[in-house]
Amino acid sequence: MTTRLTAEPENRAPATTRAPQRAPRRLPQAWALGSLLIALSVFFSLASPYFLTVSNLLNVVDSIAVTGIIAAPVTMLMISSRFDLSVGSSLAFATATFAVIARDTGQAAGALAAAGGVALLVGLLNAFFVTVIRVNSLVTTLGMMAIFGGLAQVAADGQSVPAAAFSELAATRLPGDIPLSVVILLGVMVLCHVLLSSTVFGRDLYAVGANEAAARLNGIRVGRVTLVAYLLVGLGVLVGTVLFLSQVRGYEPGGGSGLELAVLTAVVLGGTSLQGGRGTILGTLFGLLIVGVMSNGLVLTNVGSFWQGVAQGALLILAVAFDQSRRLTRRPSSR
Amino acid sequence: MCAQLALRGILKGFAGVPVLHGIDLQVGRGEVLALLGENGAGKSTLVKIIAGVEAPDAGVIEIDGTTTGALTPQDSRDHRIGYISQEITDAGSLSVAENIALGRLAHRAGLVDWPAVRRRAREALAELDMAEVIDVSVPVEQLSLGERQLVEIARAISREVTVLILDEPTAALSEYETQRLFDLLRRLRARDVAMIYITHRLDEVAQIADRVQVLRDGRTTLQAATASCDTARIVTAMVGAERSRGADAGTGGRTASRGADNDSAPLLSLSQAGVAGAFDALDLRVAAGEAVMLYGKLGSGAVEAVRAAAGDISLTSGILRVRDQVVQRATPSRLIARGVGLVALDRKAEGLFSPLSAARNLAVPSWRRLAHWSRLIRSGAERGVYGRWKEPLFLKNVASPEIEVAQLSGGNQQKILLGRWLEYGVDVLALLEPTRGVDVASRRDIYTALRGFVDGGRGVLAATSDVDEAVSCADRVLVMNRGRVVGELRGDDICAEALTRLAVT
Repeated sequence: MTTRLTAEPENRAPATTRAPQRAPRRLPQAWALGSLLIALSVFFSLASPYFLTVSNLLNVVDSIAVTGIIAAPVTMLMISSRFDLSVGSSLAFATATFAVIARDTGQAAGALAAAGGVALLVGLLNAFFVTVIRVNSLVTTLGMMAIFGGLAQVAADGQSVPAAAFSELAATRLPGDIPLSVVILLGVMVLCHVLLSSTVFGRDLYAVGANEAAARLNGIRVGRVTLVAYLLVGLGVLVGTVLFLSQVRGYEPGGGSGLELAVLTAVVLGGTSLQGGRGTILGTLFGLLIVGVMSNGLVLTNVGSFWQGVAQGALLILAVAFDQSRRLTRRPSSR
Repeated sequence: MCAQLALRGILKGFAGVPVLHGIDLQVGRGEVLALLGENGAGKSTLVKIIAGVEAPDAGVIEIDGTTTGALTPQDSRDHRIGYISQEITDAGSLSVAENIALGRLAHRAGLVDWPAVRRRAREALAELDMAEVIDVSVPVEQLSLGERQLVEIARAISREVTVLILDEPTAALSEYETQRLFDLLRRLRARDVAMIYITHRLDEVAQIADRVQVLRDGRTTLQAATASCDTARIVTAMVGAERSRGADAGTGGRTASRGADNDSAPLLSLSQAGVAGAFDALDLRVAAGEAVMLYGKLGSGAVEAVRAAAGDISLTSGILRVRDQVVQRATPSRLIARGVGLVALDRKAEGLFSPLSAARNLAVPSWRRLAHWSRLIRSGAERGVYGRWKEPLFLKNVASPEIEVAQLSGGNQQKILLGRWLEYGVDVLALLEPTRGVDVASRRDIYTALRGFVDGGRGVLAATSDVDEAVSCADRVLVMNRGRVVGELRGDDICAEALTRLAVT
């Protein structure tokens, strides 16, 4: 405890004694994430001789590219304390739209425009219901997830629709045998990182997530910020759709399902608070790698694919519990 | 008459700050005791101890012939003590009948006996002469604030209380409702119920109280029969002899600019303005170089008037002007663009961005200006803002500008909220209870900063329920009561006694 010294003691009330207010401590979280990633990697390297090879590690990154391209804008959205559970269905519907139009008209450009329109439309609808009608974002996007998941099946008539337009994209390798998907993923992440950490829009997202009422009183247009965030998720879904089409070469019934769970797990594991106002793109990258290493390792160690869902669900609960415990142990504000 | 309830030597402090310094209080059967005092005098804390909500640090409570050191809420209920707090604590989506029966629904064979529940609710409301006015089957959230307060009172009396505590029950009540409440209290008096009645309105004391007890800074300064006290004696007991003579609390350093020339075009004005249910027909001008305060208690409309002036709530009648320009469809962002910023009432809920740093919190409204042409902001720009205001705002004991704002003291947090608008460069600073929950030293710092701001040719419009605050930093005070301006004081006429007298009559 230190006693405060004031310039004019006679003019002031008795100086209060208080410990100097502490500096923030963010390190433990980065350490925890890094340690978890290293522990998983060590475990799987010991369990499987194929894990720690360059080609497998590139595989891991390739496998998380679609998830990551969507998880980056979703991180921004969740920092403003809004959710999006509709990304998997949105991607499925955009994929089906592209595949069906490309098949029926043979025009890849038109089909791509239609798919882009679909992805942005879902974002627009989400933003409309969340900001204008004021429906809780979890409920809104859960409804959209069901609606667009269903529409995707309707559009493709429940059948597989092949579409080879982007297939060379997945095959493209840059010097060093680096898949193009990895470069796209890193590009999206860097872009989102700059948006989030260095622009007025990024600051607005943190402010809205930290305290929506205060954001309004400070002149931030909360509705507009929310709309832009959902549209950015739509753009992410569009880029993800292109990559997904190149990897899967068309629409498959059930494609894209479970994507929302993987995205949510990566984002929350990466330290984005469910309450909003806290989170980073770098954290989400860590979360993605953990999700990717986990599922890759489970495949390599011949754990049945049914266990994948169990592992991913457990990881999500673990991440949320971690977020919760961090909040509970934080020192309450001194009065 | 014998004492139904007696407190002896009650001591209570919060976080080492004493709030009650050994209070004695007793109230007899069939007696109404008015408990008076300014905000922060300790009235609410004292009755919370009786209700079992707070435990005293020392002292004894005698009730029903038993003596105890502290009550739990359950003990308090078992002793048939009814407590109506200042805040509404009902279950909004449940019906009036369910709220009145809350926790003890009548039942038969394991099923709720709805006809009995409704009948008892109507009986309780009939005591307030409200059975015809309030429909027991509607959800309470559809009632007015005053009606909800009456439902809470009905809930308390439906439990056959022997002691009834009412903490400022009339703040939200209309004149008619207030008279119905007084009729009820008179009937309860005839039934030997002991009552403690907290109020700020001295006219009510004469109507209903048998005895008065005045607290000031946690000590009893007057205990007497109502018949033997006049208003002046009570006001002096509330505010202290030296302050009632109009002595300046003199901290903010009033300057010659006090009571500035009102003929110059106002920075901000309200004409015949009203917000339904809060205030109406309000005319108000804030001139350059002037600090205007709206002084009034909860429910007076002072807070709502300042919020309306800053665009936080919409006027339902009248006109808001900023520098002679009419503001249509006011929102906070429109008013900010015109140079009016609001410091909110509830720091945590509406002011601070909790996980963000102190520096970032200070810069929020200024982000657009701080951004480079490329729309990018450097964190260094925010640290620069912090550095610019650290000294003028007397930010003390802050380890680093990067510290989370939630970890700062209440005083430093309030300075950050104030500093936001200084950095942004508003012309009019609108504040709600500018120093609520702020320590004494920070309070003086804030008054100094406000005075400097006003002396720079800008204006302050603040709502306060703290007499000392109005005395120490206003150039002009409009006293509000029940949505109307009931008096205006300027310059050296502003003193605690005059303000208190205007507000309570």
